[in-house]
Amino acid sequence: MKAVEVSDLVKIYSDGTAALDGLTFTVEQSEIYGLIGPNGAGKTTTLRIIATLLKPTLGFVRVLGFNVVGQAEKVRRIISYLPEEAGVYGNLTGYEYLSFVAGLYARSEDEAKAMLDEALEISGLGSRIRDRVKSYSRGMLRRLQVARTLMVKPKLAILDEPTSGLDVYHAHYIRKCIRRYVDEYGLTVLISSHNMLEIEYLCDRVLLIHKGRGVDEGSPKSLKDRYASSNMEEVFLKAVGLI
Amino acid sequence: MNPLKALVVKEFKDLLREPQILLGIILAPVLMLGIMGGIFSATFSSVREAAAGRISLAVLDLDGDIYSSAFIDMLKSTNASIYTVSSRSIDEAIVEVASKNLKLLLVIPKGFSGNITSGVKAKLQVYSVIEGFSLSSTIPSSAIQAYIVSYEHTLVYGLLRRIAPSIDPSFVLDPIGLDEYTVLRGSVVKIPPAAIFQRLFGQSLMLPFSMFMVVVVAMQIAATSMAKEKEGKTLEVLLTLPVKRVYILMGKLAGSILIAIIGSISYLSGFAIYVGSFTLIPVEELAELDLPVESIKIMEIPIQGYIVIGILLILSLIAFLSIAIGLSALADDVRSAQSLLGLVFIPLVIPFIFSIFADANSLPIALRIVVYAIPLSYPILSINSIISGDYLTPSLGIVYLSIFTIIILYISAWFFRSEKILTAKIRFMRKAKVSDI
Repeated sequence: MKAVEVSDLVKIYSDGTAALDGLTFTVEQSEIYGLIGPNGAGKTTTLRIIATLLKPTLGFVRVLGFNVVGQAEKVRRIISYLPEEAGVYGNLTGYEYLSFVAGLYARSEDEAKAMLDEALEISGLGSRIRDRVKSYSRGMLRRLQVARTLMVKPKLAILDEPTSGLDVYHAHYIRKCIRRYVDEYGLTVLISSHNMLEIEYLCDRVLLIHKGRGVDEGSPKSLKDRYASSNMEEVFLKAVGLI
Repeated sequence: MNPLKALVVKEFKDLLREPQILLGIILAPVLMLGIMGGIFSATFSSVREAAAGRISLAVLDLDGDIYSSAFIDMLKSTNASIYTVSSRSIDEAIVEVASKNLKLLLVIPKGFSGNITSGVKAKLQVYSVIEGFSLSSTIPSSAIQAYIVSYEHTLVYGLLRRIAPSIDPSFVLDPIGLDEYTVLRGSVVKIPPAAIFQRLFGQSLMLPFSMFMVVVVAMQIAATSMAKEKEGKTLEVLLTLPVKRVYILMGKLAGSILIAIIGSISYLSGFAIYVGSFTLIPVEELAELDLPVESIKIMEIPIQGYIVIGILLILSLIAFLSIAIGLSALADDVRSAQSLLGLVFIPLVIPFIFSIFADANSLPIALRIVVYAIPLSYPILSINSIISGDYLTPSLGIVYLSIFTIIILYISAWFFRSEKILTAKIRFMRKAKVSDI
């Protein structure tokens, strides 16, 4: 069974903006799959539809066989979504926020505690985890959110710009965590990023999106070979005919 | 943890720690109203004490005859402190009084006794020395009036005894007595309606006011809670968590109601101190009225009445909070949400005003329909219905409110399940950002 099936996906917003125009791709289980494209290409809309936040205008999306429209609640049990701009309740402590989320996913207190232990390790917040979130820096907030997303060990983690706002050291650490979770727990990861280094480091396969459509797909290495390019930026520009 | 409980706990903690809510809704009302009430209370009690206490009075007797002497003797027999000025003119007396730090000068003009003897209206003059206009500056001159009235009575009694010994002077002074009765639901009680109102102050004013406060405060909190999700960009994650969307709505309703109850207790505590600070009839005097408690009981809301009002209030709360949450989901931030909320406050105020100042049933039919179409009318206006033994109106209210609330909840639940909860907004002519796509 495919981790994600996206078929002929069309999304037109109520104001008439066409965000997706027949997007099709599949993601295998335990794969890290990347979406790359410029602003407005439709990456975030695609992730939001898979995360059950938006409904497709046409086409369908299945996550491990569950339809994101008709079986949204079942989909939400097996996914964990990290939006590009994810806030945290500023009046809660980091620990309270993680406990709140763990309590919703875990089936027992032991499982919730194990999730919290994982999150403490991923976030690296140490004693600051007991402080109110409003006192956190942007980087700390992002680490807390990445920890929240991964600690529940979802079948599918949907990550929109996971290392946005992180310094080099913490960005590298978070990428290692994502890789480790895929290797150890068999997670499937769907990731959108503007950071081509990140895409190359993490992704098994990549989809190039332009104006709501898939332009090309393949592993970073195969794409670079196909377009005779030294990096993914050049691959994208050549694929959409800009150079 | 039960998902609904987890959501309610999260809402409760996040809202309770919000400085605007903690200070503005929970701490400020009790502190501000309490302090204002304390100041009023202190002022009024000082006024009462001063009025009842020892008055220092300077007297300039330019008459020096029988009736002025008798009046001064009467004043000396009370607990008033009398200072006889040495000056022989009013101007000098005023200076002397001021130098002695006295506030009041009573001048008995020449001819005072002569006028009384010859049946001509006599005059007295009172000079109040004040340093500024305040409530307390009016006390001494008011107090001396009581002494003058008392002396007048003495004069009239003496006069009547002399010219008509067979007539009771008290009859001449007060020939008509008044017994006031209140008739309610066929029962006659020997109490004026104003006294009943004062006695039943809690249920006639405080109860509708407290219901109004709970709803208004809860709506503000619910709107803040929802708008904070959008402003703080927490909504996207919340909507992808493994909980039923309707639980998210219910969590917000329950969290807002809990905080609103705490806020309202604070507000009402402050309000009670504030109102109690200038109650016209002091509590101890009210007790002395010796109102027949058994008779009043028929005008108190029975326990089943409170249950009916409670049901109506809860139904109204759910409906109004759902509307507040839905409206605030259209706003981008807390401030815009509060502005939108202003739209629904007006229909909230109407039943409250009618419940206190008017009888809705005496309105023209068109206005009555408008009042009874507003959900919050029922818990507030039902108070009077229940007191007068009419349970039909509240019962119909429960039916109407149940239908109204179910429809509102259904729409809200649909709204929460749809993508509109995330995408719908009042844009104020602003175009969508490319990065939003």
